[in-house]
Amino acid sequence: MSTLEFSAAAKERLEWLRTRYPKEHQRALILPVLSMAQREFGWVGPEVVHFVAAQIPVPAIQVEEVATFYTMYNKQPIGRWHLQVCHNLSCSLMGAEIVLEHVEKKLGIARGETTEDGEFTLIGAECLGSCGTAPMMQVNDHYHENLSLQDVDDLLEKLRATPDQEANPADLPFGCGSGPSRALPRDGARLEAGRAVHVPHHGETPVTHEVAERPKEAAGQPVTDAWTPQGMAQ
Amino acid sequence: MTTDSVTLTIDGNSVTVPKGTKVIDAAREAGKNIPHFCYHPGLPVDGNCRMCISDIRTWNPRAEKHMPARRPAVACWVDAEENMQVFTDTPEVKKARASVMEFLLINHPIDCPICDKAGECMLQDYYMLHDRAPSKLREEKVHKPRLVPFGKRIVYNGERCILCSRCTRFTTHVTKTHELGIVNRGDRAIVEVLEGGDFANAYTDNVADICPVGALTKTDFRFKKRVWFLKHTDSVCGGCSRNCNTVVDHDGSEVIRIMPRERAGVNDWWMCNEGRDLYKEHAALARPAATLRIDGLEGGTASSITTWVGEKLAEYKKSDAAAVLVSPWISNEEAWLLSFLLGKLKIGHLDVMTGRTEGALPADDLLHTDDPNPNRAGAIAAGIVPDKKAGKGIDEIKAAIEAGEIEFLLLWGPHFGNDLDPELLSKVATVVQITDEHDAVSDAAAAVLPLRTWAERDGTWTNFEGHTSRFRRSLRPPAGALDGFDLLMQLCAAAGVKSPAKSLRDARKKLKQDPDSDVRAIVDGKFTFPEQSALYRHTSGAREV
Repeated sequence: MSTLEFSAAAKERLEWLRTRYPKEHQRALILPVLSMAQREFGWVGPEVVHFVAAQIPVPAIQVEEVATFYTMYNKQPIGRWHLQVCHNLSCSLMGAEIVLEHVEKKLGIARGETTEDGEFTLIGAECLGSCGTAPMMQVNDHYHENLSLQDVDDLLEKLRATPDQEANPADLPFGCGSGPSRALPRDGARLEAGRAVHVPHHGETPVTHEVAERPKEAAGQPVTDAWTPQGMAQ
Repeated sequence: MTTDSVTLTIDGNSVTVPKGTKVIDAAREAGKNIPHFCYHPGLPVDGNCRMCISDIRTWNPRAEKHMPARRPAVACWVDAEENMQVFTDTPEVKKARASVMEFLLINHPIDCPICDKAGECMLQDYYMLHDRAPSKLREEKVHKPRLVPFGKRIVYNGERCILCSRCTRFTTHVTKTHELGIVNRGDRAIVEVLEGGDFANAYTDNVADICPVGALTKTDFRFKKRVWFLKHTDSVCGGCSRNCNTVVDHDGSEVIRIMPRERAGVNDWWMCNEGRDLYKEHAALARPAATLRIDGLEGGTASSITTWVGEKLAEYKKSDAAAVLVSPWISNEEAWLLSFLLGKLKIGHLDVMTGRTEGALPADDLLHTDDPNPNRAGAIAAGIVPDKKAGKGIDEIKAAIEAGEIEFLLLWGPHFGNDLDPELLSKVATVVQITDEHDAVSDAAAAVLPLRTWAERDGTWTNFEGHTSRFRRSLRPPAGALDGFDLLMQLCAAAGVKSPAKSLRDARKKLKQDPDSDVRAIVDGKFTFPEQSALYRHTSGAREV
């Protein structure tokens, strides 16, 4: 029997998420709940798959199908720091392979492996959308861009010295990804001074619609996810 | 024309179908088979294989013309519309299909010579029909797991798989057991049973039937026979009162496998694993020999023993000391003739036995019923019931045997062990056993006549919902085994009763004209159990008809 359990915050978010989908489409919860589970348990193993399936509930095989389809769910345990070096076109042109080989040599591991001390997991990632600042590396939820080999060395030293709490802060907002894109309205609409402008297709009337204001960033406080229950209550 | 139906043309042929029908079904209605892999009439539409791609043109009422299709569409996904034009084999469509075939074959291992599906493989057939081009691929083909057991009965070969998702849709929507899923992505995708899970529901073999390629094979059939050496005979499964329509694949003397045959309202497209294994039971059957154990009359041929039994029956005309018990494995025609004969002889102690109980499976929502015998309904409908005035039912017959009142007992068919033990039978002076299975009673009965099994004779059975299905002889019967209907004709002759039918075919015709509505219902497929019948208990799991 599974001994896994969500934290109080995750449970609260799960209940709120349930209200976001029609009753007959609760299957759509698989993606966000898997993402929450990864944040809570570090990786998505068989036990987590069964746990997530029981939470929604859906047959476990459907969760497995989703979890194995997307590369951002870790199917293996990962180290304290998850280094994802982009090696798609732009980054490769700017020397991503050199960065990757450098990290491999420095940590003594190949792509897809974890260091013996459990500090680092290295993978070569596909485009992370940071082509303008290539080469880049995503470390847990943060982007490190315009990398030089010296930057990489400094970063690895810094990461090693960073205490656990900062590596995986407990109050980090749930949700995939990080950075400013999190608060963007959906549907790929552009954010223009608080108004989303739907880019119309040919022959369509342009539509504009109000976008919920992004919560102000309080000093010293992490940014609250705009889609958390608190955000909705406002 | 009503608003509930639409009329469209398929390659110029007009066809009217109910609204909501998919184009591929409408084409089938018009006699046009659009090639397909992932589409299956018993499964929800998925539209992933793209093989049924066709030129589908909708009618534009404002422009008053058919709109040329921007691109070919998949016929399994598009709903038939009023005035739609469908072209299924234009040069463009053929070219698109050839491309689909080329795509599906990119990583296919083409190991047909060692593949059990070869000969009945849709990929093979469609390659010959639609592609016939050599592979352009110079790279190494993608390798995937090849010998993955899915439970005990199915083996999965990931390299042959074209990911049509028929098997996963079967476990999701038909059995609703959710064992199979497609995991990973792109050219790494494979079908998988969840880690720690098992693929062990009662209907697993169906996934191998519906697999359009050789990715899922049955352990029971793997490397046993090339399919083109198989002879196919339409038959019916006797494993339970569902009467799944089947095809017996055999080589004349031995059954190799049993496959389901489509029959709407009975088994649709499916069949259970137990039913498929019934042929093993059949092969292991101990067959009786024609025997007569009457002082001074020992030995004798099947024919002379039959005559003796017929004459003996006639001796008990209007007697209270004779009883007949019938197995629910009797065919409708045999039951009809037997009941006619006994009616003429005024032998009223007649009933259907409990029959087989060993193979009983819990009734479920798909096929299984809780009566593991095929023809209780048909036997009752054909008249195997106690005489209305003075006839005894099975419980009273047993009581009468116990009391020593029965002198002559005729047992028709196998599996009476659940009603009568040899000790009870020893109280009957003359036991005549007509059966396809040798058992303890065969060693003691006054007369034994060997009968042909369901696989060795023709006939019909009626299932618990009143649907009648016809089974045909697939195997050569062992020497001496008698056809049930012929045997009854001889019994009639020996007993001095004129048979109402000249042959089995004639009997089938007569059944249709029988004045008794129950008997006619066998042919009409409308027979339902009388609610209060004592025999109804055997079908307590009967569904609403």
